[in-house]
Amino acid sequence: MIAINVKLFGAFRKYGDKASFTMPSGASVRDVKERLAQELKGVDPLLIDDSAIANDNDIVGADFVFTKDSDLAILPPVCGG
Amino acid sequence: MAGKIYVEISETPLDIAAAHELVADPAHGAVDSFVGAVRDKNFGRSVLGVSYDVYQPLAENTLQNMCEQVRGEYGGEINIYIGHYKGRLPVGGISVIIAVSTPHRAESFSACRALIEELKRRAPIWKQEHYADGDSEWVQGHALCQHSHEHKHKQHAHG
Repeated sequence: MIAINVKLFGAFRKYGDKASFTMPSGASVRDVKERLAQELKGVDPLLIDDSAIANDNDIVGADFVFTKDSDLAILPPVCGG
Repeated sequence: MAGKIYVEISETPLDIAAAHELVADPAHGAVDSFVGAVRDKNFGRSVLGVSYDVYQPLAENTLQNMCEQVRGEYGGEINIYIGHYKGRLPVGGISVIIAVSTPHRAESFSACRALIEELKRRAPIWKQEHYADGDSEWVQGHALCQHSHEHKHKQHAHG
């Protein structure tokens, strides 16, 4: 199992600053988003679907597979400026 | 010599004069700047203020990459400053400053415009509007995930 920590921003802030859970090694970005939909009780699944998974440096591609402990973030649609 | 790039996410008020000083260059005859401020209405609702949430490391990285891309496109003779506020601002508060200096005005105008449009599309920054009736809402925006072009979702022309 690997530890996944996901920072929460924007519309996800109402669920706290982060979500932490473990997943089997080999979990995909889609798996992480599906797990978040369960962890964040009552969250709009369309908002999860429209959100990106990222780390401090970049957006993580949809096909990426996690094989070690990871610090991530879920990014709802952005609106800076 | 490659132009200078300055990027900051700030929790203290942004300073237009300081931004201009940073990009000033004796060889540059044009400084163009975009200043974004909190306005008092959005979609008919009376706004008292806006809170800006920022994923700081990725935002700094994204803004730096945007600036480097623009510098490449404009041949290097360009200085760029981008500052974005993090935290809550009242109406009139400055949320973003982009200042660009180049030898001639055409390049600084177009680079400045390109940078603010890219920032709105790509930077991991979110705003929560606080309304006069006591309600608050996160403003909808641009999806960063790869499937975003396949989905229809509300996008407000905001700012």
